[in-house]
Amino acid sequence: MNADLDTAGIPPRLIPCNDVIWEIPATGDMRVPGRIYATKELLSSPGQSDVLAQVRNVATLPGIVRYSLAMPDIHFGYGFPIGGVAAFSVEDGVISPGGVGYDINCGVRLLATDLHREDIEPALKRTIDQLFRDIPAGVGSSGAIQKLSRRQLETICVRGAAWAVENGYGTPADLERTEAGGALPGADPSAVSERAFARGTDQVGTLGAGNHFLEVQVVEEIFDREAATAFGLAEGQITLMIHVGSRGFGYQICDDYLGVMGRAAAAYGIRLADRQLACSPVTSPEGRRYLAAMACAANYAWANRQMLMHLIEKALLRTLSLSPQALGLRLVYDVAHNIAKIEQHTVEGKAMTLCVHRKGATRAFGPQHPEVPAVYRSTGQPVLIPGDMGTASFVCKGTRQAMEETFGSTCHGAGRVMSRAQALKRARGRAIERELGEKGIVARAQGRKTLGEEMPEAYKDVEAVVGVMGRAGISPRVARLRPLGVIKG
Amino acid sequence: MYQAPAVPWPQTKRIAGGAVPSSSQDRPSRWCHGRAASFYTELEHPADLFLEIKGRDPAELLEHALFALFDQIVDLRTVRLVRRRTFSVREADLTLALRHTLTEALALFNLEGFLAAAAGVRWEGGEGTVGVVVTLWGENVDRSRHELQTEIKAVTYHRLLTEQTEPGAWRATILFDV
Repeated sequence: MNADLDTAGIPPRLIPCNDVIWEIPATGDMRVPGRIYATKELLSSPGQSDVLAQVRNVATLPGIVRYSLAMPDIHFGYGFPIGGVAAFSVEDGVISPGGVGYDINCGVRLLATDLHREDIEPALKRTIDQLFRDIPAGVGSSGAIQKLSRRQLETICVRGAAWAVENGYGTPADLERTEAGGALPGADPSAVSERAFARGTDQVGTLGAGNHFLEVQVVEEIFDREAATAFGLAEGQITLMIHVGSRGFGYQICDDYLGVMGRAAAAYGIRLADRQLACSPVTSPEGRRYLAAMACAANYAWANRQMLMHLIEKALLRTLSLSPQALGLRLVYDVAHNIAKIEQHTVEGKAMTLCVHRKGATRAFGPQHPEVPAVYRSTGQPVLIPGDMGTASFVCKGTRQAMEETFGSTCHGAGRVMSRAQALKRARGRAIERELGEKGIVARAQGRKTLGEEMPEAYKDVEAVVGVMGRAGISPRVARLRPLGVIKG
Repeated sequence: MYQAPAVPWPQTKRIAGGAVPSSSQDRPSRWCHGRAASFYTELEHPADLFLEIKGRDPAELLEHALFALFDQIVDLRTVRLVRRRTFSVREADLTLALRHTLTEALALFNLEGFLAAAAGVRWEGGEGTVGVVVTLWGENVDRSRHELQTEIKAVTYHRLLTEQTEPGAWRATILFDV
């Protein structure tokens, strides 16, 4: 512990380990301490006391291992904090739908092109408008492809992104560059409700609403040339970033199982500090069934992002009148940031099978890990961290230290600092679209309120957030991507 | 081989649907007339949509919560009362009945595109449980007239509360994941 740090303004009972790591000692019902990655400035942002209470609540759950972890983009969620990581022993720990979130396998996909800034700038507005027309976005968006039959949906549940590739919407190389190969094992469509299937029938290949987006970006700065070369990124290059999850299909599965888990927690005698922490032993029938249903939604999300990549390629080829070879669109990586996975980790020198919950947290596996694609095995996996629509997003890399400290996990974005209502109030009388335009960013949104709610000031400083995880040695920066065009739902 | 048990999905009974009959007794008990915003307040929450609802009795509380839900999705002044949907809910207490009612109404929007601007909640007896029959009046989404605003993913259990604050005054808080 570091007793020399100035802790004025820091919530009580928070002990500094160094300038970017803080601990909440295990007291009361907490089974493990809380550990927070943040600077003093990030910790002093409004509402942090409520968030830290959520970190403590998670630490009370049975079978939690080492720490209840919080990343620097942490903000108040429901039950589990957003930006939280919790690993539970498969033998005597729990699984919780609230520790994954409603948007199961919400995640980020980064696409690289062979285009440079000067290739797209003259056609930027036209390109964004075409993408805006071709990518279904907004509340209840649907209809990217023909309505899927029940059989097709069940195949997606099991095959994930491979379903899209097998149907001509991508290449096998895409699967290699997708976390878990684009399909979690153990998916069982019989664990999914009819209502979830009904909601999922026409939403594959859609962006949805809220904070989900499609961005056209330029690689503005490279921080780690060796890793950037391995990831296929260079300064001035055009990239595209997709942020979306499992749409209504995943929301429904989460909702269905919160009810199931609420009853299960009572039946297994698990005391809950918050109803939204509803959980069940990982090995219980309810826990296994949730894992099987959650895998279906995770796989649906990977199929969704794969499909969106295909729609984007079509739109770009049409607008820019290029051959696929000249466009050179390829997948850099696809990461999940709302998921629970069964993983092998070494804890205090002992190999353990853990159920790792990442709710608003990105996997950051280091070099030589067998789950990192062969092409990235010497660098560590690419870690994709979107920022706000007016600033920047980052590509980072996973490290061995992440494996040792955070169960191979890091932050997932900038993290909100302002409520949507506050943001709208702040945006009143302003033209956010024009403000972004003055920064050279073309923005399009389906919803009237969306750009106001998602304005850059509503988020923490992404540079500061990413900087914390770099300084902690968890996920150092590789490249900064600056938005040129943004599509929101 | 592992055999997964059947999952007891929440029980909701769909009673009726279709066009609104002309009989006056089938008309809504409350019609928000585009004034839904006066029945609820948005509370501060950094990420999601946190609402406080008020009503004079539990039935009105549920009706106002339904208005709040649809008011977040669409401008209710643009919704015509041309169709009706009815469902019933039974839960262990009022708080769970509130969540279940909103979840069913949200499902009508998500699955059928149904938007409601009027609601009637009828109390049904039942020992140790809360049962309600909910009737919603409205129409299906017409993209030429309805601008959809907020995508509500779900009605969460977090900070979910119902309470009587004084005689003739009820209050609820609800967090929608958006």
